Amino acid sequence: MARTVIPIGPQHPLLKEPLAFQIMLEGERVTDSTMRMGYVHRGIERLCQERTYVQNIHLLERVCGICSHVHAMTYCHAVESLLGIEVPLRAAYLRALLCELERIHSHLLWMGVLARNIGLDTIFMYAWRDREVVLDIMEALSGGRVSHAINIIGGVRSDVTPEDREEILEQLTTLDRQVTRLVGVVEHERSLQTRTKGVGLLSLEQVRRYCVVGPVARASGLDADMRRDEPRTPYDRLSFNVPTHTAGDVWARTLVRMQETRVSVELCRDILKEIPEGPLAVRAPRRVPPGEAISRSEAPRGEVFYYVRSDGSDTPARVKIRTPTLPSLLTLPQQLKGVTMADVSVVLSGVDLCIACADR
Amino acid sequence: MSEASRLDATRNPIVCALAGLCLSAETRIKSAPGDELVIRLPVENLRAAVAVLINQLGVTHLTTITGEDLPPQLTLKYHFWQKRGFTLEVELPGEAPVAASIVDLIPGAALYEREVYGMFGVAFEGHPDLQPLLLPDGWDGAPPLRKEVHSG
Repeated sequence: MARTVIPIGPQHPLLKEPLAFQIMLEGERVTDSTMRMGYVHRGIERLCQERTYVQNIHLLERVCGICSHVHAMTYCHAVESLLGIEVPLRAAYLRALLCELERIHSHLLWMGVLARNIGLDTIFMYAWRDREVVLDIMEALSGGRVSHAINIIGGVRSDVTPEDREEILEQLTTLDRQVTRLVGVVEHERSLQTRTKGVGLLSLEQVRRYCVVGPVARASGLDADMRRDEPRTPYDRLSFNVPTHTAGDVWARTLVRMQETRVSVELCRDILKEIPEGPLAVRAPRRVPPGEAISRSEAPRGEVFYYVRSDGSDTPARVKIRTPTLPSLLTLPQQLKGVTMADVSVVLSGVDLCIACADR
Repeated sequence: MSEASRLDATRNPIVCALAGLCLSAETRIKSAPGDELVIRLPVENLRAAVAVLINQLGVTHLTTITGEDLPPQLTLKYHFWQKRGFTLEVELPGEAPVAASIVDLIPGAALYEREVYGMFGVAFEGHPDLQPLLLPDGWDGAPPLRKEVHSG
């Protein structure tokens, strides 16, 4: 059978961000593929070495356009470890609240993108309509729909008033109702199942070998979640379950993400109910004592890792970022092998790639 | 390094398993659940140490590899995670640094090694496809995260 090579990207309607693939086909089936990245590399790790600790918060919030808060927060955690300061309890709760909202926002956005790529525009519309509620809550909390800028070293800079709290709880009730309905539709949608079951398969063994994290790993049966495995306050005080599946295909990833969305809505409620009164931040010195720190958080796509080394000045000597998309990208040739050309879009969407994150 | 952290480090099962291979072990890197263990090794023992981690301790998760230019040396930190984070650290000469690839032991290291190769110029011997991960095609400058490079 004739072999064909189809290039996808770096600019392609299927991909929301620039990434290049060469898909090798035999007839309709993918036999091999290669990937080229780096099109949105902005040299952020280098830039961090040339800005002060405070300026870096602004920079690192722009590593990713979806999980912006978790990047700034994880960086602040590392710097706070170096300074030996503990953030006030209220600040920790507010950070976690925004983390969970971000997870709902990211998973709903992803659900819409997957549905759109399959051609299920109704689910796309529902998912993105529901996502608006989250964006409204985030705007009320921080003033920004995507970049929130609530983190400072030593705490947060915006508060929830009692009136805000009531209003957000009400919006969460709306969100819960809408998400429950959406999850019901998704779980019983036959055409979605037909397109996603058995597509983009990754076994538990492969997930371990490639060090994959997040919902992709959990959909293959790897029970790992940094919120539970390395908990920071307030996650050690909250109870929540970590959904996993064993099928390892795009359908299992859909179920994991949808169940996580519901868990996160519940977590947001618990956080707002249990949030203690108190100060929002403690004062942090500009200069950071010499040393090294690591922090890990569970972003919507999995474990985010920051390593920060200080030489005692007001500028970090090294900041290393590892985003959860990077290991997932490595598994794409495995996932694509053997699928039909029409399913390439399902595989690529199923992973929930964030290229800006991966390129930094 | 304090006496307490030295004692704490020697009781660790990872340190015990790597006893013949490492130079020193200390709990040095600050983190949320307590300071994380750093095990310093000679670069020629790296593959042997990773093999011990995989075969004896069942470690599978390599979070990433951090390179850092500290003239005249270059250090690589291999950050692992198994219930707790820990790090293997090796030092390389700044001039023409070479390290053995661990891609055959941990396939997940492939992109991290490519990134360190592009950003610091460390040649990973045995890597199946060693090319810069993030740099543009035809990049002919020095590796951008080396200290001799000054940004505009």
